[in-house]
Amino acid sequence: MAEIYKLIHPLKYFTDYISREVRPDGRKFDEQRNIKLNVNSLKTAEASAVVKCGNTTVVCGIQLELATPKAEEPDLGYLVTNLELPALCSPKYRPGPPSDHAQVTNYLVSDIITNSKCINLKDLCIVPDKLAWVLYCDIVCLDNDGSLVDACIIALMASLKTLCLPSVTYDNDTEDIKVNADIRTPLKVHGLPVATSFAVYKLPDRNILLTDPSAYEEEMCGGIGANFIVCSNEGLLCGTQKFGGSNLLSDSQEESLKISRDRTNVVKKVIETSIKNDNEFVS
Amino acid sequence: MPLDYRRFNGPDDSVSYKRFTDNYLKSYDELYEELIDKNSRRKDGRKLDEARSMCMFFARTDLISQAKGSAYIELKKTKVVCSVFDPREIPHQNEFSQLGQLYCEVKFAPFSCVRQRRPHAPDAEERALSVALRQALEPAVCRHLFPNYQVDVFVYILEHDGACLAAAINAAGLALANASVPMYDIITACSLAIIGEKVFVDPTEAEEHLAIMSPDTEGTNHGIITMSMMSELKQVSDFMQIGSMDVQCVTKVMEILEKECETIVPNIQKVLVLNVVQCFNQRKQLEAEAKEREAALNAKMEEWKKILNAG
Amino acid sequence: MDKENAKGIGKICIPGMRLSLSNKEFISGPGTYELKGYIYATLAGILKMEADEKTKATMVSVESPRTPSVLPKAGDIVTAKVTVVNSRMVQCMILCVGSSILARPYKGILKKEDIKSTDKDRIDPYKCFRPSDVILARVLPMTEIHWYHLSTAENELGVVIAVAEGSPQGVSMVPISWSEMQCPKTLVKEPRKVARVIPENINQTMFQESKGDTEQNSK
Repeated sequence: MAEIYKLIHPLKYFTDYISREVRPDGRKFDEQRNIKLNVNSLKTAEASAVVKCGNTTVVCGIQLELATPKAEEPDLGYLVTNLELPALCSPKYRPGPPSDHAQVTNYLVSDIITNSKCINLKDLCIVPDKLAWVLYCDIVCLDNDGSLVDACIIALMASLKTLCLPSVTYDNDTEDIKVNADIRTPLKVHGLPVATSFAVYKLPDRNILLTDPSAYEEEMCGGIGANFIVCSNEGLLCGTQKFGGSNLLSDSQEESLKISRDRTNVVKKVIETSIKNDNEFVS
Repeated sequence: MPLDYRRFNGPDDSVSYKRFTDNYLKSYDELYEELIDKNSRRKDGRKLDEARSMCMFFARTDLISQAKGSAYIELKKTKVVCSVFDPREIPHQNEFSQLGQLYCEVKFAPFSCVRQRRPHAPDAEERALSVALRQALEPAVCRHLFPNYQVDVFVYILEHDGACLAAAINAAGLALANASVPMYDIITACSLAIIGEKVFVDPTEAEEHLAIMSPDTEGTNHGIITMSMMSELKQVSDFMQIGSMDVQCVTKVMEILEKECETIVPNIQKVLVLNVVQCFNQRKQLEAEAKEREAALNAKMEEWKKILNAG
Repeated sequence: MDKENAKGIGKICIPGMRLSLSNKEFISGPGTYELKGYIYATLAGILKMEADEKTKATMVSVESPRTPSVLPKAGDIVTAKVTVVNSRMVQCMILCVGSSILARPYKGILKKEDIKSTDKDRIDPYKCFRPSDVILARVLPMTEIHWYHLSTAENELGVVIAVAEGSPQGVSMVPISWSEMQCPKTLVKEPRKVARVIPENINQTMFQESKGDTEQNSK
C-alpha cells in the first residue's frame, strides 16, 4: 500500500515523513549513513579502496606510469583523477559517453583534490624536465544511492594514503630508466579533505537540511545529485557548491558547517582504522 | 588516439613503470616454466584439471540497491559485478518484433588488468565480450514475454585474472534470475586454456596470455575455449574457441567443459534458494510489523470511539 | 540454520527446475513453461499448486518474491497517470499493473472512441480527463511499438484520483455523479469520466463496522 501511495502522490508521501521529523529510511535529519571501508582489496592496482556509505558503493584504483613533465611546469608530476559512472550503478544512466552530470561530478572531485593541495605535485617529479610520475586515479561507482562526492573523496584519499612509489634511478647521460619495484616509499599526503553532501527540502513554512541524502531524497529535493556540498580540509573550506533546489538560510549554513566538521573526524578515524587493519593483516 | 574531452587525460607519452623493471621481458619458455612447478601444480596451488569453482568461488546477489537484480562473482582474483534493469524501450527501433532483446555491455575497470591501463572508451575486446555474452544469454531468457522491449544487462569487471567471459556469463545468469526475469534454465559457463599437451581448466590471466601467444614450434595446440551451458536442458548456448588446435583436442576437452559447467550449478542454486528464503522472511517480517501497526491503530480507534460515545 | 529459516515458506523453485508432468491434470501457469510433456519453472520463487474449478486440473505456477520483470499484457487492469490530453486521444504513463508496481513507467495511449462505451461520437476527451489525473484502464492488444493501447469503456474504469484546478496538492476531488467530481475544499465542480471504484475488503468491513456502530448509537 505504501509503495502505491508513494507512486501516486510522490510529493505528499515525502512531505508526510519530513513534517513528522523523520526521513523515509528512518534516519533523523542530521543523521549520516554508516561508512564501510576496505583498502588494498584489488591486486591489479597499485593502491585501491572500496567504500560503502549506506548503499552507495565506490571503488578507487590507482595506477602508476612514467612520463616527461610538461615543458611549462618542468618540476611537477601528474595527478589524473577520473570518476566513472557506468550504466550499471543506476537506472538513470545510459550506456555510452559520460553525461553532463557525470562530467560535472568528475570535475568537482578532481577540483577538490587539486585545490586542497593534499598531494604536492613536486613530490611526484623524479628528475626535473625529464621524468615524473603519473598517478592515474580511477574512481568507479558501482551503486549510486546519493551523496556520491562524499564517497568518492573517501575512496580516493584512502587509496592515496596507502600508495607507495617504487624507487627509480635515472641515468642523466644514457637516459636509461631503472625501476626497482621492491623498494618503495610511501607517498606524502597532507591533510584530509572530506566532503559532506546535503539536500535542502522546502516545507511551506521552513527549509529542512538533510545530511547525507539518498538518491531518492536527492530526487525529491529537485535535482540530480546533492543540492549542497561542503568540503573541508583540516578546518579550511576547499570547495563548497550549491546547486539548484531551495534557498539556504544563514543559520542552516552554520549548522551544515558544524555537521561537516564532525564528519571529518569520523572519516579520519575510519580511514586510519582500516589502514591499520590492513597493515596488521599483511604482516 | 583522439582526445577525450569529457574526461581528464594524462600525458600522451606516459608508460607503465613495469616496462622499466628488470624482469619485464621474458621469453616464451621462461613464462611457460613459471606456470607449473615440479609437482605439476599451478602457481596458485591448483592441479591442472582443478577449477576455481570448488574453493575459490564466491557469489552473492542484491549488492546494487538501484538495480532490479544484481550479482557479484569472485573466482579468487577475478572479480565481476553485474546488474540487470527492468525492460525499457529499444531506442531507434521502428519495426515490430515478437521477441524482446537483451542489451549486454561488458566493461573493464581502468585498473583491472596487470598488463595495460584500460581506456575509458569501449575497445574491441569489450565489444567482442559484450556480443558473446548476449549470444550466450539469449537462448536462456523467455524473450517472448517482453516484445518490443529490451532488458539491460551490464557487467563490470573489477579485476581480471582469467576466465572473465565465463565469470561474466555466470554473474549475468545469476543477476537475471535475481531480477526475476523469466528464464528457461540456469546458465553456467566455464573456460579452459590449451598449451601444447597441457589443458589448464579455469585459467588465470598468465595462463591465458601464454595460450594466445603462438609458440615457436609449429603445429602445437594452443588457445582458449569458453562454453556456456543450460545444464537441466543439456543445451550449449555459446561456444567460443580462439587460437589454433586440432579437432581431436576440441572433442576431448568438451567433456571436461561440460562436467565443469555442471559443477558450478549447485553453487548458483544455493545462492538463489537463499535469496528466495531471505526475501520471503523479509516480507513476513514486514507483514507482521504492518499488522502490529494496524492493531495499535485499531486500539486507538476503539479508545476514541469510547470517548466519543461517553462524551 | 537455513533449514529453520526456510520452514513454512513452501517448496522453493529455481529456473529450469522440473515441476511436474504436463497433462490433463496439471497445466502450466504463470512463472512456468511446458516442454516435451513436463512443466518447468522460469522464476526463482515458491511453488503454487491450485485447483482450477472449470477444468478440474491443477494449475502449477511459481510465485516470485519480487515483481517479475514482465510487461503489461492485453486484458490487464493498469493504473496510469494522464500526461497529455488532446481532441483525439489521451496519453498517459502506466504506473502499476494489477497490484504490482512497475519500476519504469511505460507509455499508454487512450483513443477517443475507447473512453466510453456509449455515445461514442460525442465524446470530448477534455471533459473526461485532465493531465495528472490517476486513472484505471484495461490494456488492449498491442499493435504499435512502445505504446500500449488502453480502454476505459467500462463502468469500473476511468478517473480515480483527480485534483481540481487551483486546489492545493493532495486534496483530491470526490465523485458526485458518473460525469462530475467536486473538490471538498474549494467546492469547484469539474467534468470527468468517473470510475465506480469497488470497495476493497478492508473498506467493506469498516463500512459494516461503522454501520453497526450507528445502529448501536441509535439504540
